[in-house]
Amino acid sequence: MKKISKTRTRLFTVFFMFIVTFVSISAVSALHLTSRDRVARNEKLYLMQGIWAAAGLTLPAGADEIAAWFAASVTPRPGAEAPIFYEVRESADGARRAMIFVRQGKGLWGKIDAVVGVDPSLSHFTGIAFVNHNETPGLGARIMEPWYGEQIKHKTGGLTLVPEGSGSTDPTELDAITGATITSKGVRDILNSLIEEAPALVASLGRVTEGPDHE
Amino acid sequence: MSKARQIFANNMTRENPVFIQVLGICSTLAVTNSLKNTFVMCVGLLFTLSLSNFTVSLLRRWMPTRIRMMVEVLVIASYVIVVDITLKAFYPDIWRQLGPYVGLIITNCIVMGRAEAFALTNPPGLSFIDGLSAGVGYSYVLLVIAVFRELLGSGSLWGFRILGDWWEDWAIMVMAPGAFFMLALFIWIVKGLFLKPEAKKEGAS
Repeated sequence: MKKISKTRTRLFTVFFMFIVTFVSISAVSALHLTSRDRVARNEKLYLMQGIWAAAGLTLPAGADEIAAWFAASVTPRPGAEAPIFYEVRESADGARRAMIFVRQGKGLWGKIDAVVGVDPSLSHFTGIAFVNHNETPGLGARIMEPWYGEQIKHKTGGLTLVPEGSGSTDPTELDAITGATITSKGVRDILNSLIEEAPALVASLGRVTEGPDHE
Repeated sequence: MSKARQIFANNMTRENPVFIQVLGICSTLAVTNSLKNTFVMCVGLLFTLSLSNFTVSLLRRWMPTRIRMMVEVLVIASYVIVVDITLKAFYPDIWRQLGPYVGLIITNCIVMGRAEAFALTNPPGLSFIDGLSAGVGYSYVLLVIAVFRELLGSGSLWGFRILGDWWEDWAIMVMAPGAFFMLALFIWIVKGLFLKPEAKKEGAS
């Protein structure tokens, strides 16, 4: 008798755990499935906003405006896996405005994904936006502050760091963030490596595929 | 009803999860350097804590004792994922700023602690109130700390610059040690000024 009840208790334990797991997983999955499209839309919009900022456009814009601008002025130049770069044209005359690259670098806590714009002659930066990072709020995460992205415009690469607040206008100097040296170096390396590799990346485009051209 | 009121009052003061039980310190250190992040974290914890307490209490009659912790973690984790997905879908900017901290609500000792200490032995209604009040008790302490840390560390509140250019930001306030100092000061002031008569009685529990 006792044996049977013990087996029963054990079976009930397994059954109970199974039911609780089943119910909670179903609930979480249902929520995930219903919000999936919205999340994907958010991510896409976020990348578009990054490209907008990296192209040096600072006008505040709504979601619809950005999507319309992206469709009209931005051409992804496809690589083997992801686009090698995004080509941004002036909406008025179709002239090239910037080439936007998505680059990854090392931060203090993890990877930093940056969207960086370079001018058509590949000589200086047009802007930067960070789409993914795990830096410390209040320290490394201050790379998200507007002044930090703003100072990158017109810098030419081969950058060295100077203390925060220098407000350096020298095209090879970049203000660091106080208390976030590793993050600042990570961003500096992203920029320096990009300006070196950009000509080769653009040249490789022809070998990969011929995208549609506006010219 | 008076029991509910007593539970609420206790969680606010004499049994406060942060400054008496010193639980949930991880998140106290991590998120309190900006008021906005702290607020979202508190809302997430309030939601998780009250509903997980309620659910564990509902299941308590049938839950086999030996797997109770597995069930509790599962319930807590499910609610936290609900918070995470909701933020991701509707408040992507805040979700991005909070990074991994929302997921870490799962390991917040207060949630598991209330489930074990209260929800397992009390009816769902009371458990909900216990969770809610422990959450509010946690939240107001964090918000006070966050106000001071953001103001001293960044010269701003809720992201808006409050102090003028004359203010030199205290970098230590946005780093973890600043949180330790603020929390220690908070505990010192509250215990020294407001909880003195009860201090001896409560010390034993």
